[in-house]
Amino acid sequence: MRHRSLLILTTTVTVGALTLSACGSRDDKGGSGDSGGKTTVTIGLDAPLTGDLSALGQGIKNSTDLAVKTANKNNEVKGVTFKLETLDDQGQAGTGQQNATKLVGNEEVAGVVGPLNSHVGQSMQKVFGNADLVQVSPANTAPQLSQGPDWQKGDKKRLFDTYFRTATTDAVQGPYAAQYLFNKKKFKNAYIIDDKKTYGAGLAGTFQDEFKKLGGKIVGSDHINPEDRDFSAVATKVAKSKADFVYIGSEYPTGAPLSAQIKKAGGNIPAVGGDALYSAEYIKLHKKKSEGDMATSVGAPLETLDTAKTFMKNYKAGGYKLPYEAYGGYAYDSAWAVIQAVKAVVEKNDGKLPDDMDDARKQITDAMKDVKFSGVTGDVAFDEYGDTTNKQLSVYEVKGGKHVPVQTGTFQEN
Amino acid sequence: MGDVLSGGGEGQRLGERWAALPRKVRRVTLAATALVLLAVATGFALTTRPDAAPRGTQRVPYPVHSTRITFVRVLDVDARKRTFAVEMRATTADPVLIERIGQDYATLDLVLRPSRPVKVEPGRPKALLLRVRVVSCLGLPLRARLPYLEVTLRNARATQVLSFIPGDHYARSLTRVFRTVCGPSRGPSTGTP
Repeated sequence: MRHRSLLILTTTVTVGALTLSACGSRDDKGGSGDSGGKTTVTIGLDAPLTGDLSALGQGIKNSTDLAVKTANKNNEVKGVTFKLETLDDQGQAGTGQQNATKLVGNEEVAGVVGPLNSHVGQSMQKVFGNADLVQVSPANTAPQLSQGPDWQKGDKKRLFDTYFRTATTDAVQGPYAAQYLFNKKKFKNAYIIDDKKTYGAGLAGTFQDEFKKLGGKIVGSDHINPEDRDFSAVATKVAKSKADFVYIGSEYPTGAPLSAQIKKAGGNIPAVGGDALYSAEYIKLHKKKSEGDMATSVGAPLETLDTAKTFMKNYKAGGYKLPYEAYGGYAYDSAWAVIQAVKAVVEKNDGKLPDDMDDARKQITDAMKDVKFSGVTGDVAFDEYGDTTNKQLSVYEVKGGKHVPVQTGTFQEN
Repeated sequence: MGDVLSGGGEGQRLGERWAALPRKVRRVTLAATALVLLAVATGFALTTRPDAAPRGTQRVPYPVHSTRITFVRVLDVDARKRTFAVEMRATTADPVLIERIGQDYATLDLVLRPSRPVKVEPGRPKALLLRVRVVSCLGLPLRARLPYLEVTLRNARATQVLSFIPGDHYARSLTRVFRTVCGPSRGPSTGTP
């Protein structure tokens, strides 16, 4: 009987406490009275979701999904519900272009996140440019996508106003790696291999150029086919050379077996590459022979970013089966940039998007130029070429079976 | 029954009324009061949470995220001594100590002058002076595109050794000064200063 009385009292008091706490959090919601009548805005997502590079692509997709869910949960843009349409480009330029056409044809699509590969990005640019549909890539690093084909001669020219990216370009990544290896590691002799693709050849080119200017010697170079997995002939050449290291301008599905076969052929030298080698998959594919290999990647290590902690926590809570990988934070920020541009246009147009989608897309592209926010990867904003203003990058070395950051750099031009 | 005072004056006081209550009722009332107080305290804590929680736990960002060091100019070029100075500008969002600046070129000796650490405060940009000596003209990278400075920074959060890449302007200025002190007009390089 006494227990029953106490139970009744406890229940009464608990209800009272909950009422009090509810009263306390009401202010946080800002009194939003939205009910019904919401506009659905679709964010397109293009990445390699199947095939060799799917680990990176799935990380991009999941992180974009998290950004969309967060925006909806927080009612980030009043009167707008965001939806995600994901398309798989399989790392192929042709498929990417078809996907771009499909996204342009969908009248609900207000902006696109992706793709991963620079050559795929290049094939999509014109399609989006013609339709005024904004595109933010979390991972394209080839400089010509934003600065035009003659960027290296100092003749920078933006070709598409619709193209933006949150990743640092190879214009910084390649030379930074060269400076690090020549001056810090005291490596003087390089063997350079690339896969002839936009990303691989471009990155190897910027690396080689700076390495030679520093006084480094190129003791050998080769091109490989990115579809091959047997590199024994090239591996033997590298092993016999007097190289201190081999620089690989390619992605991890090619780079890992190439590096492993060089070591197997007796070349006891580290393999070094760009952000496309910075993946746990590289170490997995390498089968325990990747110790000492290095990769540069865009951004500072996420562990040093307080802004990334919430992302990492929410990603885990989101129950995504695959990790966010190298570009997860950048994909989240790319999606958030699109969301912020939509928000700016909605606020400018009395709380709704313009009825004419062509007009809405044009306004969203214009708004992207002024987007600024504190994102997962730091402060997010874009320069006059659509490149990120946050130009940090890091060198990682495989130690104890994982990539460990050994140096972080920050590009701070005044 | 003996001679016992049961109260006084106009009637029972609160304490006396409380004492007169059955023990069971008193126990239940005490428990209820305690729970109400707990609920009020919880409600108060929840309503005031946004102000109270983060302040104690917030940490300053790592130095890399709060400090900017940019190139200003090259000055005091002495071709005969093969020395020059570089002026940089440091700004920060949180107090930071610049402990060391160097450049890993084997052919250059670059140091912060004066050599003691420089404290930089938010809102108060600081000019940094680097004294540079060309140790050898042999192997001097004349046209490097992205030379970087290695900087050791310390703030309340961490000590970091970072690469600061000052960009094209710095690279071009270095090229010019290298040509001045080591160019053909300076005569054959000896490998010594």
